[in-house]
Amino acid sequence: MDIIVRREAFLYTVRNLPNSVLHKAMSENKTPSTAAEKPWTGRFTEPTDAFVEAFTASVEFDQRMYKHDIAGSRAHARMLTHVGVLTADECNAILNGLDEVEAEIHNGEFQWSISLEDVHMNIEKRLTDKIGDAGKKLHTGRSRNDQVATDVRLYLRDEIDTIAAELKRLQGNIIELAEREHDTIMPGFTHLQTAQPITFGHHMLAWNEMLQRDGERLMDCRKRVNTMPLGSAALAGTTYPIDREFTAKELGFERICQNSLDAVSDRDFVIEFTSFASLLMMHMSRFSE
Amino acid sequence: MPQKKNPDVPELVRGKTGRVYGHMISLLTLMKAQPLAYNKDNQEDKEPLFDTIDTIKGSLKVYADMMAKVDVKKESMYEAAFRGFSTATDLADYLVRNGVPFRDAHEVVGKAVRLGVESRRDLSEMKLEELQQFSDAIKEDVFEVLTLEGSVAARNHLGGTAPQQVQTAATEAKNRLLK
Repeated sequence: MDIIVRREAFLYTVRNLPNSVLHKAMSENKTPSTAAEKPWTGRFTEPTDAFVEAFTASVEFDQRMYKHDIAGSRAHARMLTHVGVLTADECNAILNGLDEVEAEIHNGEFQWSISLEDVHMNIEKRLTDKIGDAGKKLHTGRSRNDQVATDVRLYLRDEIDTIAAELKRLQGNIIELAEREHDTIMPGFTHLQTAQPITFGHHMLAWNEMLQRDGERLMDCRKRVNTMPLGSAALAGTTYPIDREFTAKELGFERICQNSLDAVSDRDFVIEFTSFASLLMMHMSRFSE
Repeated sequence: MPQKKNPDVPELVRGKTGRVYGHMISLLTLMKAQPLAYNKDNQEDKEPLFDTIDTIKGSLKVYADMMAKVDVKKESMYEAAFRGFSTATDLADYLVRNGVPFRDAHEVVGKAVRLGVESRRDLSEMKLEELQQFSDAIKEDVFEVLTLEGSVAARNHLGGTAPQQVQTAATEAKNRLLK
């Protein structure tokens, strides 16, 4: 909830930016953040324009996936240790550091920075500030491209389970009502005109049938969501001796994405979920008539 | 307006449907021209997804809570069913069962309904002799099928509206939920 509140605050800020920060930034073309703060500045010789920085940042909305980003990092660190890329000490430092960062975010003490772009860099920077060089090694054999795809899938998998439970609660209440009113008579309609008498229980169970199919679609969608892109790195895989089965097991993924190019780029699983959601809302909208 | 009680919750759920459709369309459009592999475009996948999740979670919660509190006005619904000549099909089926060809039965029922409209009465409120003027296949037992209770009870098969079927279907639906 506090994330939503902060997001509202951010949107409010952005709407007011043309009169303050953005206007100033656009005229001066200087950044409020120092170039050294960003871990990917090596290739760049000039600081980022402040407007562009705010325009391209995603941290104000992707921070809601912080738990899943940290879960992915924990699994990745354990896998790197398992294959000998990280030492046990480095791994422990990373895991303990991530616990602290997670607690800070949970308690609302974490300072999110737009100049760090996204949830991944904000967390990694904080981790590195806490534990030093081990924090910089966490990203070995990984890219934000496969990291974010993994975060979205982990996040969506959790939300699907919450939604499935709530859908079942709705169905349970509908079925209970149908049982209670199994012999209550009401008009049945065709073309908006009274056609034949029906029972109210029968009418309610019609909605339940639609919601049942929606639930089946959701669980089918979950199978494809629950597939792991991590290990695909930026696009082509990685030169490190990673063990994707190990990471998948750690994260509870049923399957592993079989092609790195596909894994980092396609979002069909999100579209599939929104198509489930569209059908559900279409049914609930009819139900609302 | 003090006399009104507005169905705000269902209307809002109906209204929110559009934004979820919109999110699906924006995501389809987001992907349609992206070459392999990752492009920054993909950052735009999150807000539609997050808002879709928030919207359907809220809609499901409010509906689940609402369904637990539905209070049925049985008399009003019964009256509405009674006033719409809703057993006209049952009279036609009755005639067919007694040897009247379906097209003829349809016409007989049409005439009976016209009399009902003119005299502001349901078919079940007419006298036997009044109904018999349209067809001599109509006997005393016709009133068993002209009641609302008789009409629903007669549709007693898998997927039908009979109370007995509803009980069976509800049990089956509960079993499926547990799976």
